[in-house]
Amino acid sequence: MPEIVLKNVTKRWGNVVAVNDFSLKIPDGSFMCFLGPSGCGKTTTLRMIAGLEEPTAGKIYMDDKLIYSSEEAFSLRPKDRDVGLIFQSYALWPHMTVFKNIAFGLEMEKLPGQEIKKRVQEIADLMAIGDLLERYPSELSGGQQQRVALARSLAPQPNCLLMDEPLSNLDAKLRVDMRTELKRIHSETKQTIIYVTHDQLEALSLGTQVVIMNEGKLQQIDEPMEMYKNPKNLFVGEFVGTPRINMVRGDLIEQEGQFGFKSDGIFFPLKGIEGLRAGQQVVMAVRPEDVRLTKPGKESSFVFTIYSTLPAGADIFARIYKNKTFFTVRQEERVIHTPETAVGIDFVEDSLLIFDAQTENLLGKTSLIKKG
Amino acid sequence: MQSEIRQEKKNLPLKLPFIKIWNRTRRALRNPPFILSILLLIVLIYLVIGPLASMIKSSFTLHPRDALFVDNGKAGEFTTYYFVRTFLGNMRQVLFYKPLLNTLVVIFPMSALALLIGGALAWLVVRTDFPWKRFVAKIAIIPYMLPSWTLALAWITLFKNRTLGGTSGILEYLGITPPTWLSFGPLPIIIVMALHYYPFSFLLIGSALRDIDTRLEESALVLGADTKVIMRRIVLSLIMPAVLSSWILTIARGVGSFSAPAFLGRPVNYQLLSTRLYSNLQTGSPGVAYLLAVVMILLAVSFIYINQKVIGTRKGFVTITGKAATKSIIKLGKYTTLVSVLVFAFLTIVVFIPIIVLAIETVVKVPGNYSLSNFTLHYWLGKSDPQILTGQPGVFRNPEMWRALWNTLKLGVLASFFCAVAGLLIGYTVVRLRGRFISKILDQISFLPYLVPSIAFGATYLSLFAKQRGFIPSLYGTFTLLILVTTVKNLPFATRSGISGMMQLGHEIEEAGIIAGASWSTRMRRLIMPLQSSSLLSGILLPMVSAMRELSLIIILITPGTHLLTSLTFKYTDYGYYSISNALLLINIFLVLVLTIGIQKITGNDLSEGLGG
Ligand SMILES: Nc1ncnc2c1ncn2[C@@H]1O[C@H](COP(=O)(O)OP(=O)(O)OP(=O)(O)O)[C@@H](O)[C@H]1O
Ligand SMILES: [Mg+2]
Repeated sequence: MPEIVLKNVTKRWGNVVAVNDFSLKIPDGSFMCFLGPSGCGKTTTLRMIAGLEEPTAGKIYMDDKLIYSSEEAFSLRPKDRDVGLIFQSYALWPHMTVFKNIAFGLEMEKLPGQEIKKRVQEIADLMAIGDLLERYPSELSGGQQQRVALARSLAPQPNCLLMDEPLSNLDAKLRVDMRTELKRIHSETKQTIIYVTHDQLEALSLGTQVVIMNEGKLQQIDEPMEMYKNPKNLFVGEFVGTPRINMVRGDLIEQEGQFGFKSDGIFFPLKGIEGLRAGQQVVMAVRPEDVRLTKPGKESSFVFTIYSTLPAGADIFARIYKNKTFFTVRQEERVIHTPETAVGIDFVEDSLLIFDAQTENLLGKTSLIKKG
Repeated sequence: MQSEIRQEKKNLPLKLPFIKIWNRTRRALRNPPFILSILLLIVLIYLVIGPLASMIKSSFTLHPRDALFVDNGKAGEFTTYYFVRTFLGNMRQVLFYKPLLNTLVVIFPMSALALLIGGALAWLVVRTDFPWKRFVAKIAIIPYMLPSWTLALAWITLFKNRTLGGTSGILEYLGITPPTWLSFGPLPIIIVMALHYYPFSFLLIGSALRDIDTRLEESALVLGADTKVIMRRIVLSLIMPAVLSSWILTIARGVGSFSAPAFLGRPVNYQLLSTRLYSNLQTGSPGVAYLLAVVMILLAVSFIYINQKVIGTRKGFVTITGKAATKSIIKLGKYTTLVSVLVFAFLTIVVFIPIIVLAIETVVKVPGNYSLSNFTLHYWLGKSDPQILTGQPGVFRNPEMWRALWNTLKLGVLASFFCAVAGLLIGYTVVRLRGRFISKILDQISFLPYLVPSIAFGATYLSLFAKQRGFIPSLYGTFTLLILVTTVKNLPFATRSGISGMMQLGHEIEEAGIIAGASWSTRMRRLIMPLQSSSLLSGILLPMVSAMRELSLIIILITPGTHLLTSLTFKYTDYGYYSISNALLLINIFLVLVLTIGIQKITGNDLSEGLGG
């Protein structure tokens, strides 16, 4: 079981930089999710690992073996890298039955026919497509095709499985089912899996590690919850989480001897922590679930107004505003406020993320100082 | 975390460049698409650029036979003798300027007429409620599948008058003597060629009309424009590129057309560039012939270049794509009957009458006498009789006919097969190596034969393969040469369909095979070929049809041993044995139609697909 290491990998097409100086270690047996907006270079990175695309610069190792090096012009052929790849389009061979599709890789390994039959049947049963073996891909549903694609790449038992947005063509319900399935397969096979997606929910729920990319650059690599709680920069904070994190642009100041954050005429007294000082231009960000609605005046000195309420099944979200500052709040009470109701707000302890306005990097996490 | 990325093994700096070169070479040699592209490029340069270069060189190299006429002339040396003779000498009028003028005089009205007929039929079939659309769409393209001199021969059979001696036509028999300008010369050439080439405009304009985005029309309709205004202001301007393209392409093909001018012009010594080229080769002045070929190529290329400049798009090809949407259809109303009568009369005259006329000519014993008592099957089945056509047996007893029939079939099948395979391979490499220089070059070179007029293309092959060069033997007089020239001439169509087939297939199908560990040959054999087989089959139809009815391309490469039905027909016409050449022609037509229908049935593809609903 391999550990994959990318060292300063760059991929350019003319003056398009798809992947920019990308270094990453993918630990053995991990379920690594690549997450990022469209065009950020996820597919390109995956294809470079598989050997279908050649980096412009950099090195790639698999375990201790060098598999690509630009300075030696060395590239191990895809078939010697022993990876499985599931394409976004599945790329099932339309002229072969499901059986033939799955068996193809085994035939290439020159396994005896009997053995191939056995292995195909096994893997097909595992994927619950055992009774579809004689069908052609065009006669399958999207979910079934997806499972065939999975079975096809699992059958030769590759060291490492690469998946490019494998669930994006499926409907919402099927997607949830397949995620469970994938998680189960991973815990059974313990293969290293690299999984590309632009769906942050999918990344957070599937990955043991999540890599966030933007414009070809690595932004952060972390465990999903860490990523959510401690985004390294504004991009990550904004990209992860629905509804989006609340962001307010303003200044750190001292007012009447009290350190705090001021924006739009509203002053938030803050606990001073290392890294923050008065005079900095910053962005304060807070997750919707870390904002509490309170009775105005009594428990909170901030008076906000309800703009609208958006029930979303299990949760109810409220948009509130004061002056020109808006917050999205996940309500704790299941009540629907009428617009223009006055409310107070409070923040959960240690939930205020302060980012530098220029570099957009996280400066620290702090809390509101409550009155009285 | 990420900082613990391992230390790389250090390479000795001195060895690095060596390792790099070594790895590069090894990988290039292991990259089949790359190797294939190099091989294809070499072959294409030899078969496309080579002949052109060789021809231009020949036209400036002194031929041994002409060495005597030139002061201090040594055979094989550089000379401007042919250049001067063709363009400046006292023979220039006969050799060049007159044929050039005649060519221009013929191709402009010819292409305009073809455009008019094709456009009108296309409009009728796509944009009106004409009741016989489907049928007309199928029949209307038949003239393109027939050898182009079918109409020429039929014309002669009908209109030949007594002034030229020999047998005369049906009209003479009926007591009407047609004037000579109606029997031979520019007028019949123009008409006959237009009737052969109009399907080209029909297909191009038809698909342009069909693919118009109806929303453009609907928005005009909503704005209150009536149907007439819409047709004029919107539809016409939208299809203008297609109109222009088909016009120019018809001109470009007309330049290289040999057969109709040969049948209808030469008897009255009305020479076009194509026929002049041919007779210069016959009389042993290849230098002059080659220069005429160069002029023809320049002529065709400049027309196509102008077209591309004006239209702004590359390669105006017959695209048979897009889905039919509901169009604003013109109601013919009370004109339906009139239009139907006109269309059917036209198709009858163009498709059925010529064949019937030709058939009649083959069953009359003494030419020019069409009474029932003169009926005979001699020209089909008869034994050799010294009294009739100096002992020519009926075509079915003529071993030459059987050999030519077999050759024609062989040429059609082999050339179209090679063409399809080459198209697939070129399409594969062009798409796989997309973005690289070599891909662009392959794409361009494989399109080049399209720009070269047929008879000029034949001339280039004659000049390259007339003698042994290096390890490649002289192929003149071999059947291989015919296959080669037909394959390469039809390559542009095959390559286009190969490229679009590969584009549709996408690259992931093959990459999935790479990941599974399949070698290149396995991928080709088990993944690419099976998936491209249908496009391969449908790509065969066009080259096959054109190979089996082609004369202009191969006429100067034919030797007695390699006759095809087409060239044999030409030979007998030259002798004046019209009964026999007509019979040969009918056999040829029968062969082409049967194969076309057969292939259309098998592949389910149709040349006039989608036109007429
Ligand atoms: N063959 C190519 N030639 C030129 N540019 C390319 C090529 N392939 C990708 N790119 C560019 O590289 C960048 C990264 O592409 P990539 O496919 O890796 O994005 P992605 O993160 O997978 O996006 P998506 O989520 O939309 O699939 C894009 O800007 C893309 O336009
Ligand atoms: Mg992608």
